[in-house]
Amino acid sequence: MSLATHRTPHFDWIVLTFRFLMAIGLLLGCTREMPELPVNGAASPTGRGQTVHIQADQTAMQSPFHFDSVASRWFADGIPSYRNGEGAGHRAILESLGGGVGLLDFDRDGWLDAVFPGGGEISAELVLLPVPTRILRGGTDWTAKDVTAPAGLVCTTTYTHGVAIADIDDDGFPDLVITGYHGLQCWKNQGDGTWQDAVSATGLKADTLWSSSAAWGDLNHDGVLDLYVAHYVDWSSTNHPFCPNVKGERDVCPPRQFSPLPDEVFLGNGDGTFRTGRKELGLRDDGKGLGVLIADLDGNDRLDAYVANDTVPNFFYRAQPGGTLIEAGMFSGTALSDVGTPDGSMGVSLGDFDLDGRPDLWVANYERELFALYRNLGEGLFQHVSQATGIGALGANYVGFGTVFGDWDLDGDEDLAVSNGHVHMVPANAPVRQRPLLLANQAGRRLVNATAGTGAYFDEGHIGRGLASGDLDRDGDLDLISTPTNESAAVLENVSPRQGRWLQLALVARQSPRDAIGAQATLKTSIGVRVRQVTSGGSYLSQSTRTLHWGLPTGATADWLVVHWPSGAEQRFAVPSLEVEWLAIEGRSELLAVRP
Amino acid sequence: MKHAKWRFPDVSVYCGICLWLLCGCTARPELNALVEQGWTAYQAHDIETLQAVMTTAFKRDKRAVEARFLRGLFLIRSGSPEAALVPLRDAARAVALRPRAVIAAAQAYYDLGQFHAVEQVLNDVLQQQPENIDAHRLLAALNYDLGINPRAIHHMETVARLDLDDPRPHRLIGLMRKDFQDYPAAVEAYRAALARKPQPGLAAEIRLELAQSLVEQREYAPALTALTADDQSPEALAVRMQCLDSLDRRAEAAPIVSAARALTAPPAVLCLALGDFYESGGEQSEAIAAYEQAAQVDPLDFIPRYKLSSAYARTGRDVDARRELETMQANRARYDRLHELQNKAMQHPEDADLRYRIGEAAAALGRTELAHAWYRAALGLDPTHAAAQAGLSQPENVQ
Repeated sequence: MSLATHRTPHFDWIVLTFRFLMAIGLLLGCTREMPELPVNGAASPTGRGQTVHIQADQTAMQSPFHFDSVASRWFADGIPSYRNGEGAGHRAILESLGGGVGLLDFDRDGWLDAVFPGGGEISAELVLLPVPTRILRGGTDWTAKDVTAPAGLVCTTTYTHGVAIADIDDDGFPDLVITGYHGLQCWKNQGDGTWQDAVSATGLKADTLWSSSAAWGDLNHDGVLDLYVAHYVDWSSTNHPFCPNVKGERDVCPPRQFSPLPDEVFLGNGDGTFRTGRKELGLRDDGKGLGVLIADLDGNDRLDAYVANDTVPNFFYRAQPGGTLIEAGMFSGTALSDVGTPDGSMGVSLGDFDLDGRPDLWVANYERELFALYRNLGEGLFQHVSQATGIGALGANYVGFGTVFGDWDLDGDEDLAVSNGHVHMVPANAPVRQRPLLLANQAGRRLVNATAGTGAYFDEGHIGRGLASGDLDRDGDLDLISTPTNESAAVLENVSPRQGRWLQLALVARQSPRDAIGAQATLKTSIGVRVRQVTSGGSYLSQSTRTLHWGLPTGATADWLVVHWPSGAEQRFAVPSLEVEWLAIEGRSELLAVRP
Repeated sequence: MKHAKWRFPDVSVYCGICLWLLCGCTARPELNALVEQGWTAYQAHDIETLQAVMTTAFKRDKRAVEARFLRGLFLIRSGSPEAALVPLRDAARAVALRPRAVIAAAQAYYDLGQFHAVEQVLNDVLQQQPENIDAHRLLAALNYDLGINPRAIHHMETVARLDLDDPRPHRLIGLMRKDFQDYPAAVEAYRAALARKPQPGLAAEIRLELAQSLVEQREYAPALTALTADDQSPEALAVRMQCLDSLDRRAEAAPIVSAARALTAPPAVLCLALGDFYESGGEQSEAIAAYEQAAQVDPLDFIPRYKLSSAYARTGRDVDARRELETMQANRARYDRLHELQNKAMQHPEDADLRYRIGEAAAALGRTELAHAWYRAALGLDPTHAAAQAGLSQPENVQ
């Protein structure tokens, strides 16, 4: 979320050019080269205060995607809307973060449910007034029921942002952590539709800093889930400087105005409690974390953590054999932009863009920065390939947040969705409300803007933040939920013309925490291998479904599934048929059909 | 520093009138014409014409205030601004010559690096003539030199408003905006400059700068069309290569790549563009060679180092990669310091030492000419700044 004016330029040497010109007196009254030509009223520059629209993408294409907005159907009990409290006019940086969404099947009925942190309001005296988190139970035919009250999921102490989901007590029911200002919330799923406040019992109450995204995973490889919590900056009601916008009015301060807050890792003790472990694992303390992804990024059977930091280098914590982490962002090529400058990074996603069997990293960044596609070269090395893959053609005005990979049209490669929206009330150059993006993967070679004409939600600007994907209607394709700020959440049914068939796979680990975070499944098909990985966190403040999803173009066949479990074990399964959600349980030799 | 004062008591007007009477009314129309010719030549930096006009004026009436005025102008343009101040002071006593004499004197003070005096004189001018275009031009230059870009842009915008034919104010605003990465505003300014129909040479320069700004805005197709077709400068080749690559039109870039490779001493920016082009095409060894050349041309820039580090790491040259990464970080730190200080300068218009430190930061990056510009700015605010004086004594080494 860096302010452009606070960004470091790529080429400063042009300053010299201008000084040359000054020195030779161009400015000081040389003869005009072309005084004889009349002006005829031409060329008064347009005012900077005018709305600048995001320029048309030079390589935009006819979209293969279409998404219908079905929120009013899904949210029969009222559509959740994340509140940031901007009405009080404080323009606090707190207001700029927004909220996410978590998709989970908390009641194990097969239908995805959703958790929406509510955010908060802010009083005139800069007191934070929490807005409750809501939880909705998904059902058939695009119906969902608000079960917040019976669930008992009520907390009145934190201004909330994000969701992290995992089965932390291995009881088969997913549990929740909610991030925000003034600390974490932890809710244990009782399995009967109710939730128990477990923030004290688990020890997560020790985290009191301003947290943004969080993600679960066994980072020290001891067989117990750990929690990575990204912390942002040291803003407070007493550290709330005046930062003027282009009109000279108070606006949201850039993150450079504040000091970073150190991220934290809560290491699982194996008894349902956690201890702080940032020193034990060797975390840095100079990040301004907004997005977190936990996955095995270097293929060594250990979970790594990638942190999207705002205006400072991103972190890539590579797991080491001794259960520690080494921050290897710089050397790996994932810390910076293509020219060696830190980006204002917010959202992150993992997908095998180039179909080479290795998961690539995708990072949504601030305006004027390229969204970063880091191609995975193996051995912990990545190559910034945004320019080569056409990302530059998106233009320079998007401020990207939530982002997810997904094969929206079932053509066999993973496409992308991105939520965008500015952080300032009066940005200098880009619009406040920005259109989301759908990027079509062209056979692993280029990403092309395929947003136009994909549905009403994509035709309008939003202050986009959270984004998650999952098959909400169980029809085999991936739908989306988006949570813009101060606007109703959007539920987007994927109705894209299908280019093929689908396959879904849920994984249950037995030799490692049951969420199987880091498990990699390779689908061997007639058109090559297609790899998916179970990840935690990702996007921005959100959690997508952990059920893996493949599209296969018409005519292609799938023969085998090879699952590489976090324990290191590998299993090969025959694929009995497509268009089925399968369940693989570590150690069981056959896939189980969850639903046809 | 003591500020120069330009006060014109009534007695000076009286003296001017007497002088005018003494010089004889008959010579006046011719001298007035010479003043006009001389002023035009002065503004055009046409020193030969200026000298001829001055000589004619002295032949006509060696005691004429007009001749002394022209002598002042000539001395400025021939690099003797201090000597120019005496005849210009005399000329300023003549009511008709006073505005121009004061402006020229301000120029002399500017050339002498006496920035406070320039500001004082020009502010006096603007109090009486708020729309004096020459005063605004000079104040724009002064504020730019002091690193106070918003003020410089303000004065340049006034110049652009007052002279509707001149494309240069918008071009210079564009450059300032571009320098500070305000690319949308830079694009706007360049387009405004082009709308004023500059001569072909200047137009090509503006088009290149516009194209570079559009590339920064990731508007590749407009950037390509912005370039003048016959602009084959290395910078234009770099822009074309980047645009065609980004637009997935690599095949069209083949002749551009050939032209770039044929250059014997390509600038770093072209080497970088070549490296990026090769890298995007998967030609790793060619990319490395181009990045190495960029690093050689501009060893203190951080971008080639970062590109090299990444490319070495990808090809298994870990030791080289780590070395380049370290160099990159060191260069980057120097760069960040320069940038931070430059930003600070805008908030501290009177801080001579800050400007000296910016000079030091620029010198640490090998930008000695830029460093000298900042040392001069420091001395302009504080002529006694010994460290800035010492800095200026170091030879310039243009990168």
